[in-house]
Amino acid sequence: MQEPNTNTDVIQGTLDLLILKTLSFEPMHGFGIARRVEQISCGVFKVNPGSLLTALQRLERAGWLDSEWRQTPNSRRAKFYKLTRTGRKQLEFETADWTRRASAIARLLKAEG
Amino acid sequence: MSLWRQLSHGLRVLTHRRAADEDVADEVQHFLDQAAAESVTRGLSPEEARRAAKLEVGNMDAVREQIREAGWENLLESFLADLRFALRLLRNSPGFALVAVLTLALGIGANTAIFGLIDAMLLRPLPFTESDRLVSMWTMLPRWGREVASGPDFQDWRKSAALEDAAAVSRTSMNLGDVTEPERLIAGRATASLLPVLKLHPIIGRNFAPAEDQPGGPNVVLLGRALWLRQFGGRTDILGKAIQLNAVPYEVIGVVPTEINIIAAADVWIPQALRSDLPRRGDFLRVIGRLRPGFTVEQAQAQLATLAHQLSDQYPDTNKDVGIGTADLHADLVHNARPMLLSLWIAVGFVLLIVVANVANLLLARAATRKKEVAIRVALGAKPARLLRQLLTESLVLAFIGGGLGIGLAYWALGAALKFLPWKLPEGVSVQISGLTLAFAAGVTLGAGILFGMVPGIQAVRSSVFSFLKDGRRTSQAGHQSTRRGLVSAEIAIALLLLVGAGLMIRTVQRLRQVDPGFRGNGLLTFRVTLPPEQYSEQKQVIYYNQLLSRLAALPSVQSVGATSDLYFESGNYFSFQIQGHPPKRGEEPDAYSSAVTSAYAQTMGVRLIRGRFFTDADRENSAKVAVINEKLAKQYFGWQDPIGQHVGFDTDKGVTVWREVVGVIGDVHQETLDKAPYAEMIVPLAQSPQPAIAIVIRTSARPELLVPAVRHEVQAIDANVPMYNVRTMDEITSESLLDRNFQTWILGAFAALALLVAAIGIYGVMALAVTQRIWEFGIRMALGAQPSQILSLVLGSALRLVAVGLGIGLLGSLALARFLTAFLFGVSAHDPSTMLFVAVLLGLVALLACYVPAFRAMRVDPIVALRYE
Repeated sequence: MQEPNTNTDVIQGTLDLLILKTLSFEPMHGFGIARRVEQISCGVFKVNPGSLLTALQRLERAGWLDSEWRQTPNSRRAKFYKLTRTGRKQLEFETADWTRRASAIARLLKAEG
Repeated sequence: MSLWRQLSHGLRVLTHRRAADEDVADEVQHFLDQAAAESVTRGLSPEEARRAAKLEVGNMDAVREQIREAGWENLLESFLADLRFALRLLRNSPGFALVAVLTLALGIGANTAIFGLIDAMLLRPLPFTESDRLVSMWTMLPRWGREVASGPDFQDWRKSAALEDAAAVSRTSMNLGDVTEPERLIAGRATASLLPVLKLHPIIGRNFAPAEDQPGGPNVVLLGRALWLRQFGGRTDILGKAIQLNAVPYEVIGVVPTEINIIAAADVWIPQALRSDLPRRGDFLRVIGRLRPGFTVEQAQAQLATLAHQLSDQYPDTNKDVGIGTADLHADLVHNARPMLLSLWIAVGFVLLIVVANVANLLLARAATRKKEVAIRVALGAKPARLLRQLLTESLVLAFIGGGLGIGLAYWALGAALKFLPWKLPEGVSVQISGLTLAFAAGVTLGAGILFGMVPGIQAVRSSVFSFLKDGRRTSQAGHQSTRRGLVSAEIAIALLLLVGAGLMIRTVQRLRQVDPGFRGNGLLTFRVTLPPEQYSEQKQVIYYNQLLSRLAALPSVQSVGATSDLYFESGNYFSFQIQGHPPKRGEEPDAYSSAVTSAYAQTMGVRLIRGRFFTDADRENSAKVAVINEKLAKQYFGWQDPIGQHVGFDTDKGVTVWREVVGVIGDVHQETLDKAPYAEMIVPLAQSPQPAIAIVIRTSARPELLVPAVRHEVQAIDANVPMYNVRTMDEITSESLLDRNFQTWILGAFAALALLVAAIGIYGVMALAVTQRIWEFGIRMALGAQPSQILSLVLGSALRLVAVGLGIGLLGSLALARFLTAFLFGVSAHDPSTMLFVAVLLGLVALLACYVPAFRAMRVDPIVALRYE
């Protein structure tokens, strides 16, 4: 079974935020989200497909995402996710929260250095 | 909104499992395809691209499983699967399932039933509004301790600043006449304040008016609900009508609710008129108070202590050093039942512990045989947590089947136990399985399930992590074995505790049965009659009694008939007296249990005459006044002097001292209960002290019960309006005084027997498995020349160590716990060595018996078969 991977563990707490942020630009499918996160973070964050798809399911259940199945050009079904209105609110909240924490940590680190 | 999504999405997955799985598979597949397509655009060949994509995504099945496990519905699904599996396992080993479920049902059932009693009696508040402000109040006499209150004292207490108000209650009995079936009623007398203090309201009609409980007030009556329904069909038009009590009309002004019986059980209530000239030390009132809001019981106690000091200074003749006791009404009402209920609770707690230990033991034994199954699960990728969850599900299934049965059992047992309950529950209190009791039962069940599931669960997980599939055939059982042996020793220790408790109670009951009450109880029928003073003057009373006694004496099989004002074990009065020539110091007047009896009484009761003479028919109203005393009084107050011919005096209501000559000494009688020592006693002739209420005792050569119809016929023939009541045999009355101990003994005995059985099962299980696991070793020993007897002593020796440890711990524990029983014991010490020894030997023998079968099997091992074993 899946051994917990340290890389994804780093992301774990912020994965939701990253997904919400990515989807705030346009609706996307799972692979698209994964690639976008990796590109924007310049490869710092590697997204594990299992964790990503599980997180998508969870966020959808929480009411922050809606999903729909679309036919893709090569005739496969793909599940596209888009942000809901509550999802957008959640993103704002989590962004503010993250910024607050990050700046607090930054200040702490600076004070020590 | 999101809760709704959670539910609907989860339900959709559950109902359309295949479609949901397909969705997940498609999504993962799409991810993979996209990854491959991307690699192709970066210039990889399709073959390489697919490999790269697979590398990125990882094991497709694992990813799908990860996604599938996320929602709540999957937890539910795996739980249901575990449940099905657990039930199948139980079906496959019915013997194990039966023992586990039955012992659990008994253990949880017993706990639920006892908790139901505790809930009803101790936990649930009294059914009165703001009942926490109700207190019980009493007099504390310097020499005698707790006593009820006198009229003048009550009037003073009532004015205390700590109290909103107080009410005084006493009881009497009256004949209800002018109805189709006349009956003897218990009449409560209450001040008009009783209903307001309790915050009760009449079902119909009104309470006593403030003026109605004054001396000379009108004859008004409140009907109890039960009597209202029984005699008057629950009709509301009874209000304003008159009923005949002791042949005097009383106007019905209302009907009171059942809850009032908690204060005092009564059929009707009449006003308690307190004359202002009542003596201060004539105590006959029970006092109930309602505290002012904001006052605690402690504050009230302090206030009343000050009041008691004032009264002591003000009335030194009667109130010197007399205190006022007060306590929460509920606590006061149940203070007799509390220690017994708590002791029973401890006992059932132990029963449950032993059951839990035993089931854990059985599960461990099964775990040993399930090692392979667990190992395969682990090899197939089951995580320890998942494994633990499955094992816990199994034990919880067991617990809840047992618990469900147990609650049913408790429901039935409570109904049955109420009949044997040594205290009558007041009508207003009901004992059912309440919500709280159900919650308790569910909690106990859950706790038990987790407790006995954790032990084998942790064992299984630990061994599966460290040694799975190694299958150490003969060596890896050591861990299991030591846990199991520990559990069995614990079972033996707890069983011993319960057996010691039961043993001590049995000894107590034995000792009590050996006590000679001082009279011959068998072959005695007793009943009471009471003559309404309104129709029967003292002269008429004597005529009535003489007529009744001679009619009864003429009945066939009747040997003798006597009458007494107070029957031993049923009622009694203690009067202070003086001895001529020895004026007592104030506050140290001697007192004695006193009754007025007829001349044939001593012979009928079978009381021994030690010296002098008993009364004769010549001791009449106008002959010389005489008295008979018991040995105890003679020794206590006359010492070596001969009491015969001495004179003793009683003060009458009118303040006159009546002197009587002591003419005889009778043997000591246990007047109240078998466990209370005989008290000083003084008897006077009924003819010289007529009483409106008497008890008749009839000695018969037939079975006393058979005499009842004939006796009833004679009583009716004299005056149909005078009912006979309290018809009982003397044996019934004496055994009633043993009721609470019998109840406790039976329950403790049953629990102890259950514990013994369960412990025996535990020992058998452990030894049987140990022998099975060592068969190979025994085979080698036998092949090398060991005698069967040596094998036997090997097995028994290991069992004996187990038993000895359990017995040792149990004996230490019972030394510590037996003091909880001290209050119930009689004639036996809580650390009675013979009881402890007997119980330990009994338990040891049962334990050895339980080992015998496996040991015997070990002895008969055929080395060839054993070495081929497995």
